Amino acid sequence: MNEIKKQINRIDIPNNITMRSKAGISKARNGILFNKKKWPIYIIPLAIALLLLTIYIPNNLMHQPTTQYIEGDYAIDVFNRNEVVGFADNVFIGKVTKKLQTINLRYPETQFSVEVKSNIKGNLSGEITVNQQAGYEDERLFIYEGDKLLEEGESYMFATRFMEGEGWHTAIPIGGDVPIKNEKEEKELIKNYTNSFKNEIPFKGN
Amino acid sequence: MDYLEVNIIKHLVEKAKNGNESAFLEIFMHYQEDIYRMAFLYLNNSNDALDVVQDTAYQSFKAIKYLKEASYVKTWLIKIAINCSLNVLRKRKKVLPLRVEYEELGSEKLRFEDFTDLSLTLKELIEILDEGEKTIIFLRFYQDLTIREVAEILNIPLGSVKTILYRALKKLRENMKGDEDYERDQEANQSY
Repeated sequence: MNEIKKQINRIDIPNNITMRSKAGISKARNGILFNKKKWPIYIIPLAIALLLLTIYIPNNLMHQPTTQYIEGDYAIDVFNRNEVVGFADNVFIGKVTKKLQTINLRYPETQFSVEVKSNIKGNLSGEITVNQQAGYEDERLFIYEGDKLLEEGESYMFATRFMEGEGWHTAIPIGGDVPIKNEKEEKELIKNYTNSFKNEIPFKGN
Repeated sequence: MDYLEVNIIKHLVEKAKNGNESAFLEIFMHYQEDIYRMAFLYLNNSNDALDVVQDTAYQSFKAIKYLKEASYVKTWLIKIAINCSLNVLRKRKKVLPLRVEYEELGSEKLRFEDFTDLSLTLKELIEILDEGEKTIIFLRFYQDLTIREVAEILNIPLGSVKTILYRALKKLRENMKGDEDYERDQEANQSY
């Protein structure tokens, strides 16, 4: 055994390691957003904030939908366009024509019918189903921080992964569902994503 | 991994992708100690390293459905664990530590064979090396990955991996030499 391995093996493994692994998995399943270790830091300000909200906020505002961020990192850096394109099966411009349904997995996910306008990576055509890892559960919107729920009638630069079992294309959050407001933005995005396709960083887990 | 192990892991990954928690836990438990040790190297703190284990379990279970090739599950988990550890460091230092600059080996040609007699301590590994160096040392010498595999996981050029690896080993050797010089001076002082 090399000396480095020998030294690293000297790091003792705590007894509760499996318990922590289970906690992580369970948290992913249940969508529990609190870090158990740190909850006492948050709970008092949160309780005070809730109390103030109850006292001061008018009733109609209390019924506004709330946003709950899906916690944590994605398997890639979703802000790095080259990684997003490398991770995606398809990169294309599409227009959302209709919201189809919201299903509840670990978090709500919403499917949209999307009309493909042009391709940068892959070769899609016609109407396809794009799945977004975001959606409403009751009045609460679950979404990755920095991402926006797709809207009917709007166009986007999509970077998606094809989920064969479901038959839909799941959009990569943030870097894989960029809204296009006008022609200028569209041209700019086409230029940037085409360039990223040339310099894509393939995902090792593929 | 032998043939049987590959098939077992493949089977478990398929079950995990369908939401089977027990299957995922079984896979994860297989690698949790490696993840903990790697996180400890970065963070030098048991509680933070355990947080990384928990966060890696959380992130990976959420993303397991995107893993297309089961045989990559180990490197995939390690990559997620590296990101989780760096996130903790980023919060601590408010900087992004592992942005490996493109470096080339200079005129100084170092051979790995020069370092086979290296003797070091865990404390030195933790304190002397920076995050990028620890990552590469861990992947190369603890996970026994080739330099090419390390470069692929970290998405950095092969030449950079070599440079950082040699720089890390050289740092450890120089530190060892410093310790020896110090001990020799101490012995000399005592003899006067």
